[in-house]
Amino acid sequence: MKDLLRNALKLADVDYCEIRFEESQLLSISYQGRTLDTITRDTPYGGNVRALHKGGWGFACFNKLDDLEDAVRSAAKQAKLAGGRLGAESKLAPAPVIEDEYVPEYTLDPRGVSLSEKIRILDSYLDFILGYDKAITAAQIVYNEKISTIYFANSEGTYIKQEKLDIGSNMAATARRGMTTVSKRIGRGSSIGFDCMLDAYDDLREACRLAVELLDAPTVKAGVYTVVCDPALAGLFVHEAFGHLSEADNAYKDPNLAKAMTLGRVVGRDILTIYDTGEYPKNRGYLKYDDEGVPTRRTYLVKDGVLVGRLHSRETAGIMGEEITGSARALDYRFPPLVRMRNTCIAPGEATFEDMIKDIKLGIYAVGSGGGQTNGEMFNFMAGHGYMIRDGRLAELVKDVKLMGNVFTTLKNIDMIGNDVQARDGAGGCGKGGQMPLPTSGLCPSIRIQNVIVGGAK
Amino acid sequence: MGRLFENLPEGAQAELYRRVSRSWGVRFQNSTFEGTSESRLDTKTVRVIQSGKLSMASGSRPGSEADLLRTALELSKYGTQVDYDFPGVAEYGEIELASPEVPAMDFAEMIDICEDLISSVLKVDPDIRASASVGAEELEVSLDNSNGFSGKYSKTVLRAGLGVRYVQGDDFLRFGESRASWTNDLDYEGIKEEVIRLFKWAKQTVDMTAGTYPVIFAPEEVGHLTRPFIASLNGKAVTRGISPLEEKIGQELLDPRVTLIDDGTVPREVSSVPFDREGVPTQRNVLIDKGVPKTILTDLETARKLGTESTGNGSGRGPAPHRVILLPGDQTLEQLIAGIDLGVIVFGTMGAWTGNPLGGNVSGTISLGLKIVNGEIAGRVKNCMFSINSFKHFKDHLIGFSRETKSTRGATYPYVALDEVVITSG
Repeated sequence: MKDLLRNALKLADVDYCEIRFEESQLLSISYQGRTLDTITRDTPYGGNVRALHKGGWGFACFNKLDDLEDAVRSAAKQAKLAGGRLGAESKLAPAPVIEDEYVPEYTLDPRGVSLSEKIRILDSYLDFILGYDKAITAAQIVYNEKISTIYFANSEGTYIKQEKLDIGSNMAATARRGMTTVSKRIGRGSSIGFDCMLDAYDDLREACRLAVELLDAPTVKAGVYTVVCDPALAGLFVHEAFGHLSEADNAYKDPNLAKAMTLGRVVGRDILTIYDTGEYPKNRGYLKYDDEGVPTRRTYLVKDGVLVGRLHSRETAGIMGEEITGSARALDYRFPPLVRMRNTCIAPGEATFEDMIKDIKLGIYAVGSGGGQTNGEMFNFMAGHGYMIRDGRLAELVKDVKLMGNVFTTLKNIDMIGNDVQARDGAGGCGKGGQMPLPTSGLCPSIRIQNVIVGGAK
Repeated sequence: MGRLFENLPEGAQAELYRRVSRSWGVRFQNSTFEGTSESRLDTKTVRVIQSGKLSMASGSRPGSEADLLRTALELSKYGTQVDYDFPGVAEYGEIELASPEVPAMDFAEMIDICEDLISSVLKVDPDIRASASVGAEELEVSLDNSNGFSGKYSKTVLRAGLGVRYVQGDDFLRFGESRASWTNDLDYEGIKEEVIRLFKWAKQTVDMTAGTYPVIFAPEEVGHLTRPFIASLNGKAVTRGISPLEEKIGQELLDPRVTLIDDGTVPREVSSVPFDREGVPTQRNVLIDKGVPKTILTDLETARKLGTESTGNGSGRGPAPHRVILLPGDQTLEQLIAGIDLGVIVFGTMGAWTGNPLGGNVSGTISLGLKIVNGEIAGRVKNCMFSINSFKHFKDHLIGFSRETKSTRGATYPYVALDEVVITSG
């Protein structure tokens, strides 16, 4: 493969060219209701060529390896067309030339676990959920496993063969009474082992208990509250509210946005430190090399409340004159890489949970993550459920807890950070530019935020 | 194809779905040309039913059909227990879905279109960072099974979009407009006019106090409001016992002005197909007729469980609508706005897709909303959320639907005006 890719690259008479080829094996198992719903094996096979010339990009995607040379010519031709229109200088930040073949150190390689054993484990979770209470009318279990071999070569001499594992799973209990339906779910995920799928019973028991109890819980009353987010929701918050804004492909050609995101700007209190990293192999955002062949590195975005960095592709780093971070990621061979997050983390603080709630007269403890979205300035994210906080104590359970805010205001309103870091993994992933779901994760502690807008009943 | 199915084990059924596509397009980001792309993809999916169990294998390796069949057969012992057969020889209507005008489009023409879109908004304000894209796709889909069904169709799609990002200090404005068509007849002037109209309206920010207000939702956002109905009338939710409408079929549930239809049969519509993913001809399904739930969308499996015929909504992963249509009303948008003393018109939301649709609660951040004062647009509202319950609001708080409709994201919706919408602001 190395010679094949390197020989094909010689056909590209452009400033820069790269080839990525992928062979993957996917296993998807899902349960809906009371039975196994789908079982699928998928074998994506294909590649792409990306070429850069005078600042313009060309991209060609193909399934047949025999079409590789045609794809190189097509991408080069497109890049010349684009570069001819732009007439700019191709700016890529320098990256080390690497030759490597990388296989993760697996804790439990899923290829060593038989399909029947995987199904036995999932069956047992299904039985557990359905047997918990008669109010539980359905279970949903999704298990996705993807093992990829990705070959990467570029015109600068880099050649990498990288094996990647991505396991993501959600398991949910649905309770229903009349017109009221409530689901509660747990998530699992890993980049190095099937062991993440073992021993989920304690978490499932809690999900089932909550699903049943939430049938009688009121919808949270809309208003502005002090909110304590548990680690899972804090992970979603930092991803949606700040992570996307730190992706440099927004700011690198927008002087006004770059100004709003000037390094050195104070964006939070000195207790706040945020970083994004390809470390942490037990989580889904783990990455040795990104899809431009750049080694990933821990990238501090906010340190002690001050904006200190952002996430880059080679092009955004080159244009902004900053260092590469290894953040160029593509969903699969059908797409070009975009600037994306990996594991986005808030560094732990010193507060205990009791410290965080004891002086709240009326607030919400928001638990679990149910998805979110941002437009750069504002964000919206959904908690799994919540508890009212009244006079410094946890009070009644509430449902449909959805929070929103302005990114810059909210970051400054984080006034306490817990010492209870946990990871947030599950099926699904991040979406951007039509590429979804990209595996990401976050390791965060609980955080307390003042003046959060919460939607709900009147 | 016959050869692939020749050596099936006795009693086994198999199906091959193949999608061959070529797509190409151009994109501009941050007001500048970024590049072009071209993809040629050929993907195959094999499903088998063996000993009453269904399984599936898919892939894109050339010539892999036999391997996929072997894999699906191996998986079938773990597969889903099903009680139906793949359809046999069947007639389906031809629908005009492919236009020769789309393959004729080249990069140069697409670049010119994008440059025109970008320059139109930069003339309004050079501080705008605009994005634009034009993308074309031609695809051929074929479906064959061992019971004799053999069908294929060709389709073309042309898409274009124009987006705006406008940053002043910490104040961001971000929205876009996109259109799709089966042929080269996209209304680029309409895209430009809509983006410029919204930009001018939204440039000024005004305060909005929390409370309950009449709110108009633009067609692009109405899909969030109808999601509880569509999710509840999905055969999978009904057979799983989690649909709140399971026992409401035929009963008055919503305002009689609410009629919701799914239709995959309309010629020259990008979301139409002559047959569904399982080989069942598509049809027009009235989901809600004058406020009364009528039809549950089904595929082969859920139809069998419910004792009905498939509605032609098989997706391979449960029933799915083709094109959802909410029938319009008789007032113009202008009249709806004029009828509101104090309220909001919502053109963009965030996070409204999160949450459990079966409960009916829908809430989200208003990413682009305009305040209405005395029947006129007064400026942009920020830091606001809306909350409704679709079952309740489409029953008791429906003001009306506009006469104008817009087709977007596989649906055709009017503007929807609801009263008593909870607006939270901070």
